[in-house]
Amino acid sequence: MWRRTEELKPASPGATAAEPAATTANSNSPAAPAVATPAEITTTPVPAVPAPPAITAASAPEKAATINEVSTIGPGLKIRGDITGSCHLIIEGEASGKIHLANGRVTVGATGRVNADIEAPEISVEGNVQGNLQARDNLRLGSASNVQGSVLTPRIRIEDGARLRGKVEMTRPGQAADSAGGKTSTATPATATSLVKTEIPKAAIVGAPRS
Amino acid sequence: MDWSAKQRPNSTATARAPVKPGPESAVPAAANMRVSNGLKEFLWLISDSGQGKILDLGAVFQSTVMFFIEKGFRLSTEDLLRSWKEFLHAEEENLRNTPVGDGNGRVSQGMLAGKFLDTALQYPEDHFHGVLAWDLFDYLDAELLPRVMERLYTVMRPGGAVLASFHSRAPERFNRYKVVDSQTLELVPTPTLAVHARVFQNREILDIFGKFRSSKTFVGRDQVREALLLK
Repeated sequence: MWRRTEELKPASPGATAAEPAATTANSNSPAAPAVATPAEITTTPVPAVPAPPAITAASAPEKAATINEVSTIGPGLKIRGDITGSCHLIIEGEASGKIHLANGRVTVGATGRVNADIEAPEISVEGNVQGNLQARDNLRLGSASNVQGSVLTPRIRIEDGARLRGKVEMTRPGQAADSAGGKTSTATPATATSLVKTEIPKAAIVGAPRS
Repeated sequence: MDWSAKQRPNSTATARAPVKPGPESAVPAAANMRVSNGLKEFLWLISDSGQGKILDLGAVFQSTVMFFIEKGFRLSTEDLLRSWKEFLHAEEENLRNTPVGDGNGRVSQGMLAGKFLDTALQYPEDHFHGVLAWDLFDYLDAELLPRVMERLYTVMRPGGAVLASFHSRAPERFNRYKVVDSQTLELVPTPTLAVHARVFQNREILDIFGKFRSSKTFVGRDQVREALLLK
């Protein structure tokens, strides 16, 4: 269930999209009970909201850190369409389409099933994802994650038990991924010598190639 | 590139010449570590490929991914054995749910293998410079194995190298392999994913890699054979 009003726009005219009425501004309370019926939500398309201005690569992680609004797609919910915005997003239900967050973190929970390309500064996966992942800052594949798609990120953490069927490419930290159609294969991966002096959190297993 | 003609400086070794074990790795010896001279040779063979593309057919591990990324390679992973077992499980469920007598009850292993490969190992032709397959081929069903080899041959570039391991006797446990450094692997005990299908003799290994050119075989202290073959 949405816990915060989310910017949604239909993938195409006539396509189904999440209903704004299904969202509630409740960003600080615990997650509300999931909708009992797992039926897909079909709603009136919402006028497209202009995308937030593009942020610089350097400021992306900082802005992501300051975001404290969280939206949740709870278990039992199915969302079809494009999801955009600037907040943290937790997916415990099902989502298909495309997910693009200018700021914030996308978390696919253990019960989450996503059939979409995901683009966000931070991505964390514990559930199932079928689609390409582009994380501008860092990406984590949890021990129960199952990803089918390419991974493009400057830092990656893969826990034992994770499943990945696809390729892994590394970018420079903060580098905006090529979002045109999610063409991760066209993005130029950094070579082993192209990354220098990356500020790497000691606690994290990171993926920035050494200089 | 003609890798078969590639030689190290001050070396007269041929592609088929036996290789003495290299110097011990800097990684401390441990029960779950093994020296892999095959990996060392594999890396040497693909070292000229620039940002070469590697396909790891085992489980994905952080250390393996970072090892190859840091060396400038591009890595793709596909846990083929696990996918195959899950595919078989799904097919079995489908059969259970199929009403008796609707004509779909008879499914051969060959049909299953063909159906599996409709979705597995889907890569462009001549795409990969190297393929890693530890504990894979001697776990695959007899009908699937030759088809997988055919597909691998297709997706590999001419001159590309396959590094595969084969047990000399049925293993006591099922392991996954992490790359620790250029000649050290960490064995990660894993709940048995598949039963060891058979022990291949050396000649049989060459047979299943029919189209490939034989390069070298390395035998570890644990009697695991590493075969390095070239397309």
